[in-house]
Amino acid sequence: MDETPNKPERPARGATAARVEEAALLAAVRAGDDAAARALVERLYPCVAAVVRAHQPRRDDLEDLMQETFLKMFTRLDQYRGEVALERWVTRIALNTCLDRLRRQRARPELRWADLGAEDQTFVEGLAEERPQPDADAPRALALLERLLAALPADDAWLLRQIELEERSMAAVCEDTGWSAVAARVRLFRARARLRAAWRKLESPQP
Amino acid sequence: MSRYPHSLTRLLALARRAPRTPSEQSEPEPAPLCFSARVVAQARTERRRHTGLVAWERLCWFGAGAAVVVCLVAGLHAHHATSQPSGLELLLTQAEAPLFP
Repeated sequence: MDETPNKPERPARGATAARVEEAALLAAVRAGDDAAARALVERLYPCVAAVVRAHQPRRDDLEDLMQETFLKMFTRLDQYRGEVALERWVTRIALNTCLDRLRRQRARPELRWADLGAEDQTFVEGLAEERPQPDADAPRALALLERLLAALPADDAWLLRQIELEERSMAAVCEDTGWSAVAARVRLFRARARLRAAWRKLESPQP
Repeated sequence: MSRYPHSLTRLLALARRAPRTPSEQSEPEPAPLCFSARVVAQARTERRRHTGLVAWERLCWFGAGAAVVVCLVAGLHAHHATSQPSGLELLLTQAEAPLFP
């Protein structure tokens, strides 16, 4: 007997069972069952922790951000209609919580030519020339870029890291954050303009 | 046309080639002890506070609605009352009339 057609059904059945279990858990949480609420937190903790760890502004904020994310989740649980998977919905809340925290952080003062060491100054001058850059310079480039990004508003820096450094698509960023495509494009346009301005200021040596 | 100055474009290209620090946590991280209980307890307190605020907001709206109704009724009543001259107004009209026509 050919068992091939049955094979794909297994994960689907498993996924359906998980969805049913999740729906039952949500119904219990909405009904005010504390045990179900605790089970939901424990179930979602790993994916929320991964997002918060990847995007948290400061190490000491981890527990605080996790707590804030779950509190927001419970407050908005009545708005969850199941259009996206629960994990996706919660990780979106986690990411936006991190971005809100980033927005509240003050950017460092802008990076000036005089702030660079002699080696960094030579490196920046070398960038303007056409000679090829060896891979050995890549960590220096990353460190310099990070210093430059630290002087921008933190949410701009986050977006630039995603698009320019990690080379993620706008669709992926929108999917993660829940932003509309237009809003994301506008944010990116402004962030790029700020990065350009910061670079020009760095390149023009101050008297 | 490039989005960035040439040197910045080169910096970005070079930075992309830099090795990244691997993620510290590769395995799923379980919730710390009592974390879920603490969060649920706080969510319950928040919900209670939220419910209280919602009740207060509803009461305020109800009060505002009632005040609007009272004002409308008072306005209508005043309009009715002013459409017929009062005794004092009649007296004043008489007083304004010349004594010796």
